[in-house]
Amino acid sequence: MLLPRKVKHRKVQRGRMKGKAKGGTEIHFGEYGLQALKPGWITAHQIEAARVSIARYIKRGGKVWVNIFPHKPVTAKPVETRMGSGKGTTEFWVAVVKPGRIMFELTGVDEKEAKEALRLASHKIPIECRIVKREKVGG
Amino acid sequence: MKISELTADKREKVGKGIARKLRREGKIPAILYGHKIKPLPLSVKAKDFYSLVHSHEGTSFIVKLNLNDGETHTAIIKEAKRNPLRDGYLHIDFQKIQMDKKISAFVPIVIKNEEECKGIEVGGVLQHGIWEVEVEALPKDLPEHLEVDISSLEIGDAVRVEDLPFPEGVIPLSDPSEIVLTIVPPTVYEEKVEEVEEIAPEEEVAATEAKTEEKPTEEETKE
Repeated sequence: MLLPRKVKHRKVQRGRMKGKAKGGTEIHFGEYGLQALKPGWITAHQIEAARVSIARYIKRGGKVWVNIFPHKPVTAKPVETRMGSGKGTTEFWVAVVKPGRIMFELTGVDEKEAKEALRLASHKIPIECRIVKREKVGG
Repeated sequence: MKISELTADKREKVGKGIARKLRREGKIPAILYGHKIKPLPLSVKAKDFYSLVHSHEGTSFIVKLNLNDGETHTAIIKEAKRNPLRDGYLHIDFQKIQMDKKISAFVPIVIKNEEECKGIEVGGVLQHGIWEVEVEALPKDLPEHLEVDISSLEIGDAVRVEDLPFPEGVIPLSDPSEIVLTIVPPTVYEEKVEEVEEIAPEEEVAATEAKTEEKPTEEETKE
């Protein structure tokens, strides 16, 4: 499971997810990508589940890139605990994703296989996604 | 490189309000700049621009801009800004060029004989380092694309910028040692089996027996 090796702050505030993604909105490595259309927190488990679903579908061959990383710790208090006594302990890690962000990239497989693999992965992600193909104009 | 034609309208007003209005009308705000001209705000019909873009496989190509007041300018598409969430274009930058002066542009790399590649046949995966090469050339010499034959490549082989077949008069600006593409070995995803620590069977049996002896059975309790 993905998680940071070292963090500056063990616990962070929840934050907001206003606006669109500022970067990572284009396909840089592969030919096909899975793009987020809504903002959300993607947990390390969900990222791993999506990656595994792509890997299992394409079996041998192909290459997958995971462009998001769960940098943000999420804390929770134990059940049936009274409020107070400080912030809870870190339960899991999430990646903050905003609309437009390319989360996964894929290459080395044909279009049909790539689309099916990314469709399967999109079912592991708790937000609306779409499959995009590399395209660039200008420069 | 063939020169495509595109009709554009001059626009006097600038700003986000006008730009949004143009987009609602099915037009794309654009600007023309470069070579001793004052930046000229334009608008282009979105439909015309899409058909132009889809008729080329390259990223930068020469366009002859026919303006509504009769002026014509030769330019290249320097930047086309897209909406990341929708397929529409938000803004286009045209850079005016002179046909007798060298320009720098990105030329796409087209792969040939991918099916016959020895490395791919044995399970290798084609991985791109870069998809385009920056070159300097006169506009007339600028190639639409650069073809790379990968039929002889095996797993572990790579094509670098210096290996590309540049036509005469075209100078690469990218680093000659930069990897364009490589055939990498296939990634084998192995299923991880979680290892559970086994307790020595004798100890386990002894422990369970001790438990059963301690606890009286239901029948005993009833009696």
